[in-house]
Amino acid sequence: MKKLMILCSSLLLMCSCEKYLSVKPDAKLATIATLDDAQALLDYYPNINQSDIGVSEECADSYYLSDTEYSKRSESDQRLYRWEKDNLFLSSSKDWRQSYENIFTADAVLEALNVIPRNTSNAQKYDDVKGQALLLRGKTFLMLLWTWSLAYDSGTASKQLGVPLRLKADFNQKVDRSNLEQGYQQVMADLQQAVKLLPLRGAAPFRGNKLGAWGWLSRVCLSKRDYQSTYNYADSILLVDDTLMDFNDLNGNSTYPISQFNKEVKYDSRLATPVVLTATRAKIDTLLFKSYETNDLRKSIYFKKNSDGSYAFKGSYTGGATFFSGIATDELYLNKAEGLARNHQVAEAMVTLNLLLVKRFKKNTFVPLKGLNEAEILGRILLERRKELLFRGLRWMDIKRLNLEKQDILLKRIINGQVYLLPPNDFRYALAIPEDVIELSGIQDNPR
Amino acid sequence: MKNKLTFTFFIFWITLLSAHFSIAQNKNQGQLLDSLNTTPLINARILLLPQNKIAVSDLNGYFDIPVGTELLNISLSGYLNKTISVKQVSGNIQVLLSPIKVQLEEAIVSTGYQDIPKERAAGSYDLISGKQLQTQVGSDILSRLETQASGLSLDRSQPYEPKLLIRGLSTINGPRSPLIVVDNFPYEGDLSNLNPNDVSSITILKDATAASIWGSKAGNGVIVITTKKGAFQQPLRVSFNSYLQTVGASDLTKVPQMNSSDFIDVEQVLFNKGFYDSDYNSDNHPSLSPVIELLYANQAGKISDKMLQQSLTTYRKVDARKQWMDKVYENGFNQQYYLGISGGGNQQRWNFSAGIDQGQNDLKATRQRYNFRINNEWRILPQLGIQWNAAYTHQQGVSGKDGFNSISTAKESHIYPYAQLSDISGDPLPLVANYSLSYIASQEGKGLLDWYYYPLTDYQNRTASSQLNHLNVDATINYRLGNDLSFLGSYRYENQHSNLDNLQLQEAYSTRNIINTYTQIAADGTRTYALPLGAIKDIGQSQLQVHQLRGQLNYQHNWNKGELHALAGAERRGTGTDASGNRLYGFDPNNFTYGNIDPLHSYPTYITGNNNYISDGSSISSKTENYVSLFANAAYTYLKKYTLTASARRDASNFYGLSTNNLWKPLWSVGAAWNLSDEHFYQLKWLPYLKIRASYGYSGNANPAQTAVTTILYRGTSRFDGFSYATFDQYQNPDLKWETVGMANLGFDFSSLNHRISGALDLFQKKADDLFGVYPVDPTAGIGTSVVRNVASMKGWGMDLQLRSINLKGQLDWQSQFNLSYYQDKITAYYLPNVQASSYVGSTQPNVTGLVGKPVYAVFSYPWAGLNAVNGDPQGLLNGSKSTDYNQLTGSNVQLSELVYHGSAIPLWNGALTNSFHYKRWGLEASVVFKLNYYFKKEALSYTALYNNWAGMPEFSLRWQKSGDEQLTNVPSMVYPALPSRDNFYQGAAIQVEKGDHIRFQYLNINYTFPFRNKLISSMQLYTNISNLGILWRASKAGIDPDYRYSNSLAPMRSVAFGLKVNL
Repeated sequence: MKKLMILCSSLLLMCSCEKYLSVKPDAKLATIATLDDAQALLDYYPNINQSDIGVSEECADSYYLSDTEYSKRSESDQRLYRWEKDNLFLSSSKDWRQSYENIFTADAVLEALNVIPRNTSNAQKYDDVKGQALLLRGKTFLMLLWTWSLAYDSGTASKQLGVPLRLKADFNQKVDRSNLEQGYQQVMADLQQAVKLLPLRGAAPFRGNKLGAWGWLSRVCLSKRDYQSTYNYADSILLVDDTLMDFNDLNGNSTYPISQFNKEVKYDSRLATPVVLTATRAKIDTLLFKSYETNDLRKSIYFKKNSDGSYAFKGSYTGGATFFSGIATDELYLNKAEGLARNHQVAEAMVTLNLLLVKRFKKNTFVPLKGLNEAEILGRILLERRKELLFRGLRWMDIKRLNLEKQDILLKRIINGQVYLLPPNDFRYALAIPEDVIELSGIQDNPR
Repeated sequence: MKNKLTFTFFIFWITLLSAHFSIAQNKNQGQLLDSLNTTPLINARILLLPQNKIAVSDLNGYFDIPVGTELLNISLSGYLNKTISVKQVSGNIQVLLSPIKVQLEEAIVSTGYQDIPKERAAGSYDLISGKQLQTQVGSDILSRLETQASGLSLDRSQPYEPKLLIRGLSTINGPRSPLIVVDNFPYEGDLSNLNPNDVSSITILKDATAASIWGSKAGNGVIVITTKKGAFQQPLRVSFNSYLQTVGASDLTKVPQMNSSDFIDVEQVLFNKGFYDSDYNSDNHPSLSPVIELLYANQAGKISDKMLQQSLTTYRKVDARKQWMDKVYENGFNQQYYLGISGGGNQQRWNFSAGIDQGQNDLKATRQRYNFRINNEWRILPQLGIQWNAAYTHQQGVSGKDGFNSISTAKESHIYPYAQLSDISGDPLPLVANYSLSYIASQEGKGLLDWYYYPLTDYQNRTASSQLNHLNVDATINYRLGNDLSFLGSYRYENQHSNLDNLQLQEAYSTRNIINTYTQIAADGTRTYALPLGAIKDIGQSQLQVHQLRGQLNYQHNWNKGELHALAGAERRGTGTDASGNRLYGFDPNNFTYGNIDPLHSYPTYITGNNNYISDGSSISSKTENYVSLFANAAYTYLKKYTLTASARRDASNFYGLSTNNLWKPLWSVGAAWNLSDEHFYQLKWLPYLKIRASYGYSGNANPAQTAVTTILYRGTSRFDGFSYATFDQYQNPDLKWETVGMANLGFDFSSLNHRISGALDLFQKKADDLFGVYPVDPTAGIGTSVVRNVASMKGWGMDLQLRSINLKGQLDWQSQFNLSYYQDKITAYYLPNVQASSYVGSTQPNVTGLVGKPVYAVFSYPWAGLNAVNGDPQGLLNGSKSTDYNQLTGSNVQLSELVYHGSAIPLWNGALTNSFHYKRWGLEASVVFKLNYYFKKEALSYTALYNNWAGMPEFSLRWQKSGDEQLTNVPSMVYPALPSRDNFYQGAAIQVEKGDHIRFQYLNINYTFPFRNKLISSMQLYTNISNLGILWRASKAGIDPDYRYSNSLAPMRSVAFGLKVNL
């Protein structure tokens, strides 16, 4: 009798016990079991597209702070502004952490794809997702290298410190810093493979696509000073789509004259915009502003006059206050032009630059460049590059590589009357790795 | 209001006195009543002297007193014997019997699976009767336990809702709250649904036997609440209870606030340094205080120096707190009505109750609660019984005015101390909210909605109302399968549905602000609204459904010398929560229409022109928690002296991705009890009852992070492209194990002759291993900054002493109950990488210390070396010498040994003393609680917070200003710019640490039982209860209430209740 009852009651309670205990605790939970799950991780744009490394722009020379504004900034931001050699970041600072979180996402997606079978019915989607993950990983490694390593020089890269190349979604795995050469190789490998897998254009501007991957490859090569490849990748895009906005069509009086997802944008991403760089705080470098000619529309499209006579930036391709760091056609014109000029194709370089500039000047005021020699056109391209690509997350990299080209760019800040200098090729061009990262990982810090 | 209160008080006692003199009857009858709740007492034995005859009280407590009786000697088990003289008394008398607070012979503890006579129990149980609880007033149950239970405390060390702790901590990061069981099943609904009048008893399970019977959710102890039932063969009984309570308005003078004049001085200094220039010139037009606006207006020549000075002089005299106290806060009140009816026949017993609670707080927010409960037991056949319960609760609440701490400003809810609510004529004044007032003024006339925020009247345009319906039905079948064996099958269904409705009319500031934000005005003055005009209505609802099913076999066998009680069973419990929310813009409350918005496109905002998206405010979620458990329990008692118990349980849950070996977790306990005083060799005459108990058990905690796979969580849909997106939820964490806790308990129950002194002493020790901890992880790992790991072990030990004494018997009864608990813990292992010493100092909220040998929550501080005599800088000690290098003083190089260790942040001693007196028809009960031996860090001035967030502290006026001040003060000099590290050092310095020890007068209850009787009313009692009488003694020199020490937590105000209890 007793046994019978126990049997009955346990049967009553335990039937479908297995099923009962495998109910999802939250209907929104899942594992990365399908291509849709993987795609959903890559579609989380606040992390994937809107967290590009912004700190390097904070160190660059496009802006300055008033003494009062400087005094109100946090200690770490003040140290960054002065290019101090250490203690530049609060613990768990976003740039380093978010970059590696994105890399983890890419790794996790790639590992999940190893398990999901690829077949004829899902091949297109499978390749698309895989390509997006590779593009994400490649571009993130590249931004880390630009910020925390010295400029790439093919002669010394294998002896210099790169960044940890984390390629597995396993947080227990220890990864040390590789050298700079290995870092760039990984970036190239990821991006080149992405190009093969991605569709020409993505389903949305935030989704990785072939044009975007080419754009990033063009950037990698530029920072490696491999100008031929820079040209090749830039030209690949322009052959497909060389659309430029005509700034004459924009309204310089609007708060943000350039709209989001405009026709120049090929792949949208933004910087995690540092607090210091918000328009109310960062004032545009006076000499830089003066370098725009009278008829240059960028004067009114890019800048707003502050009440104290200084200027603030309003020309982001995001249509708002955050800074654009994605791939847009204007940059590719400049990459192509520089590639041509460095390859001694002076006339072609001039034509390319003219195509861009004519869209930036008031109608019928632009006098096309002609008759410049190689040094002159190169100088002009670099100047226009600085004037066109403000706050795109590129200037710090440009300064570093151009100093290897003997441009001798000397950075200077004046704070409360005191002058702070950053000489060319200084060790401080590789920022100090956040102290908490060093402490927890034991990786080597940059030489000081 | 005070006058009204006094008046009520007056009326109350007049009524009482007149009642006293209105006895004018001629029959010689007596009536016996319980002195606490005045229920009639039946079957009491009354020895009539000198006749030497016995009378027995009837169903209504009546008994006859023959002529010539001189002395009554009344005895009733569970009550104090009473002898009274009736020589001088003619006519009817009422006799109140005081219940013995602990009833050793009859006490039955309920574990939720079985009822055990306390005598036979080996575990550590604390039994609190409903009567004991009902001397306090209030709508909830748990807050009443603080004075009644030993080993239970309310932890108020964090600035949010107090947390109930039973015997301190068993985990560091796991769940901490005890499991609440109501009538044999875990209660998932809101605890505020329960009416304290419905409680018949509460058993607190403190040791390992709790967890071993209730499983993995019970590692922190169990509170078993049993509701009132009828009795078999009991005539119809009706009881009624009602009170009216007034609660004083919050005392804002306790909120630390900087003097307005000082604040204005600081603003002037900062203004002259250009501190506000970037804000003033900013296109975002952030909020500026009225004084700063005046200073700029003066600078621009818009107002004269004289006018400026006049205005500043006016502002200097304003105290915002006083404004709120005078114009916003008022006394609150609470009301309660409760009706209980019960009865029973030979085969049936039943109980029905209904209650209404309603109240209004000092901000005029109202709430109502309606309770209905019915319970019935029916013995259908000798071997078959059925019992069922149904309870329904409806609660509703409506929001009130904007309190001092709930004002929305752009400065983290701080307001400038000279904020004004209304002008001289009483018209509301605007308060600085999101934008500068001068900017708003400059936009007037452009066609925007009024953009000012008027805190005095804004609440009139906003109504947040909530409704909650809770239904609880359960049924139990009890079938006897023979003499020894019975089967118990029970099922419970709970359904709680709650609705939130938040209506913000177009006139509300929040609505006007968002409409203006999305308004565009063209050059020709035409306005376009991206957000439709009209009210905003948020609707939210959530539904909780719980199914619990249990099958249980009970076995009981008596031999000549021994008896065995055993049970075994299985249960499953499923909890589902579904919630959704929605927002309507352009809502018209008159005809229930609403407007449309476009969440997919961004719109330029009015002030900055930034493009923003309008949220459609929709949400939906669905969560499920399923458990399957097996349990067994046996107790063998030999010769009624020796008891051995054992208990075991296994739980499995639907934690996502849990590896199978982690799915089922066994928990167990063993225990023994020995009634020492029953041994023939036991000789202690003064201690006729002594029992020794011992138990040991093992429980555990699982963690959702214990997943075998990496999981992701779908978070929503992109507004840009409509794709669903997801982020990681848990990362594959194969090394993570269950937390385990072993607890040993040794207890003594004792009672002296006639229960003059009785009580229990329990000594316990617990050892917890593999405790979860948030382990900092290298950000390079790619999973953020921390991960859950098994990082720590801890040891806790302590003592619970409960003493009940009958100090006086006779005309004046005096009984005392004294609870004293000691609890201390220490970390025995902590596997975290070196953490900076500064993180041990932390903020004013205690952090987990994680330092071997120290309590889990400990208070550390920086050594203090006074203020610098030259500049008033705070000084610390660096390598033994005075230093003002704050980066060094608070930085990573500081060694732990250099910090000052004060002690535990959680009181080591907790206790309560309750004294009850009964004299004739009067009763008085007073209760004090105390917390001893702990430390806290008080809030201190930060110049950074003062400059940026208007967060001033009154101690600013004591700051160092000139050489020599360092002898008188510890408050650093004002510096510009503010140095955050200097502020951090000062806030973390040893001088901020205070001892938290204090004694608090919790409540005072005075009652009077009417001597009249008639056929309808069998008894009646009037009572007064005064709660929150304040602190009687404290160690803190700063005069801070350690339980309510955060500037945003206000101490509860004194409340006075008058009530009436009637039994029919």
